[in-house]
This record gives sequence, structure tokens and C-alpha cells, in this order.
Amino acid sequence: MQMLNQKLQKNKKKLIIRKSHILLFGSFLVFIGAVVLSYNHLLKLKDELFSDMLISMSDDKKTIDVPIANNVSDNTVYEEKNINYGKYLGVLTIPKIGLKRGFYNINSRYNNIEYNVTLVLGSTMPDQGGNLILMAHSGDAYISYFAYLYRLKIGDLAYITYNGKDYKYRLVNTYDVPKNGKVAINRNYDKTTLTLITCTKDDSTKQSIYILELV
Amino acid sequence: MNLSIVEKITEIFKYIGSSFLSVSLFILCLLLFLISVINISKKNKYANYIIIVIYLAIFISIIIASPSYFVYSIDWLLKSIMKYIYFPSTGAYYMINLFSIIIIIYSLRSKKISKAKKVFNFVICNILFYLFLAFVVLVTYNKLDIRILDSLYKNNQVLSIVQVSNLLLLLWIIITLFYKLFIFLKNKYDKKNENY
Repeated sequence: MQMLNQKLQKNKKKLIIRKSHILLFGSFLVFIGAVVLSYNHLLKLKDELFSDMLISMSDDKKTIDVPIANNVSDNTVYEEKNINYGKYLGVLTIPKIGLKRGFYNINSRYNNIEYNVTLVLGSTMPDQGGNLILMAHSGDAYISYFAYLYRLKIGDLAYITYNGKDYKYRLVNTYDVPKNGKVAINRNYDKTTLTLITCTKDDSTKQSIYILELV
Repeated sequence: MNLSIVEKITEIFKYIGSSFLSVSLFILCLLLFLISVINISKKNKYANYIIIVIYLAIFISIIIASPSYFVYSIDWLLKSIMKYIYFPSTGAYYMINLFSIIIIIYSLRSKKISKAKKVFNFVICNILFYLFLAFVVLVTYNKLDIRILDSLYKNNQVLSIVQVSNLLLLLWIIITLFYKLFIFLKNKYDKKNENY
């Protein structure tokens, strides 16, 4: 009987919820709550970190000599971020397809088709006449900035903002070329033009060229 | 940019005497310091509370005045932790393993740590140690240059080992912190009650 009483007392002692247990559990709940509440923010920070690291690891890929744009797909829906356009050399805007993206200087390490709309070697800026050539991937990935170029029709407008000035262009011609690393640009050499290059929609063997003339 | 320590201190003193605000801030900090020191022997409970309230009030007012700076600082801290987990340097990884060996030795020798915590330490540290050995073997066999981080990040197996190790270490730190908190709470509240 005495043994049984002792056992019962021991069990009672075990079942006592002490103040320290409550406080510890409370602290744990606060910690979990903080993690759950900041989960989306943490994911955003993680995306930023990965993006920064990809860019910083691309030091050896300064320019693209051969323009190859592909259909890129990663089935991810990305949130639009607040972009500081001041950091770019220029900004391409195509209102019809809701595109507004900056591009970097030709020598910038960020001027890489894997991260941005890319300025192609041999381009001239709008204030110098000639032809400004930009390219980007198609598809449905974050970097598929030219995914909806195929929706453009002759006469549609695009704008380049460069050195604080807006240049208005009108689409005059579109055509496809084989994807072999070389692109023939058929344009009027008397006019200042903008050439956009991307992969042809639903055809992985071709690239689409969009010729726009300064208005 | 590359100033000597004397030049740096001179710059700070120049700032202290440069304006009414900087002199006021200096006097405020000096007063707080003096009150704290004097109160060590006086042991006035209210003085302690007042000092704490003043420090917190100053800190909170800085947060309110420039919330973006506060958010930026928190983001920087979180990003640094994430960077350490996802894109670790091999030097830091080496140090982690040195640290895990120290933990094993401490756990073996210590009489203060509970048995459960010792087992937990052994489990985590031995997994870390195994992963470190696997890392060394993979780096040697694949002839990777561990000083070039690109070669590390582009090898999925090596990267997974390092990232999982860092995640385990983070888990160990969190659990250890909660364990320490538990010990602290137990000593503070439960022992008092047991005396009654």
C-alpha cells in the first residue's frame, strides 16, 4: 500500500505543469508565430539573395557575342517588384504588352540574357542614330521579358528612355530567322531603328526579329 | 579610408565638439554611464528601471524616426543568415566542423549537461562530422578548388552537403537556445516554488 502511494505521488509530481514549462512553451509559440508571419518576407529575401548570387557569379559572362534567345520555362509565377529604373542605362517600354524593363551598359556584368533584357554588341544608342538591338528570352520564366512580343502588330509603339529623354518607335517589320547564332537585320539604313530579338513562339528552331523605326 | 587608430579617435573627438547636438548626446550617454556605475553599489531598483526605460525609449524612437533603417537592418541580418546557409564559404564550413568537434569534447567532459542534451549534441555533431568527411572526400575526388566558390556551388552533391550541415547547425543553435532558456526559467521560477 505504501509502495502504491509512493508511486501515485511520483506520478502526481510528473504531471505538474510548472511555470517554466508554460513560459518555455509560450516562447516557442512566439518563435513559431514570428516564423509563420514572416514566411512570405523570408521567401522574398531568399529570392533576392539567389538573384544577387547568380549575378555575382556571372563575372565571366560579360557580353553575348552570339545572340541566342530561347523559350525559357520554369513554371514559376513571380511577383512584380518595385524597380529602380535609375540604375539602368536605358528603359524599354511597350505599353501594348505591359512591358517596362531596363537594360544595362554593354560592358556591365548585368548585361546578360540570363538576367536582363540585353544590349547586343554593335548597338548604337538612339541619340546617335543607327540601330539599337535588344534581346531577351521568351517563354514563361521570370527572365522571359519578351514572352509577349508575338502579340505586336505593325504600327504598334515602343519607347526607349535614355539619358532622360523618351524615344518613340513604331513597329514596321517582323520576320523569323533560323536559330544558328547569326541574325540578318533587314532595316532602312536611313532611319534610326530599334531591333528586338527573341525566340519564336512555339518554334524552338527560329528567332523572331522585330524592326521598329524612330517616329 | 585607411586611418590609424589615433586618427580615428581624433575624428570622433572632433565630432563630439562639432555641434550642440553632439555635445548633448555625449553628455546624455555619460550621465547614463555614471548612473549605471554609481547604482552598482547603491542598488536602487528604480534607478535601474529608469536606465532601462531611457535606453529602450531612445532605441524605439530611432526605430520610429527611421523605420526603413530598422527594416533594412533586420533584412540584412536575415539575408546574412540565409547567405551563410545557402552560399557558405568553405572556410566557414571548416570552422563549423572545428566547432562541432569542440562541442563533442565538451559534451564528453561536462558533468553539467543533461544526458538527453548530451545525446542530442552527439547526434548532431556526428552527422556534421560525417558530412564534413564526405565533403573532403568529394572535393578531393572531383579535384575541386575550394577557394573558388563557383566550383563549389556548381557541384550539387558538395553544395547539398554544405547546405544541410549549415541547416543542422542552425537547428542545433535554436534547440540549444531553447534548452538554455528552459534551464534559466527552471532555475528562476521552479526552484523558488520548490522551496515553499
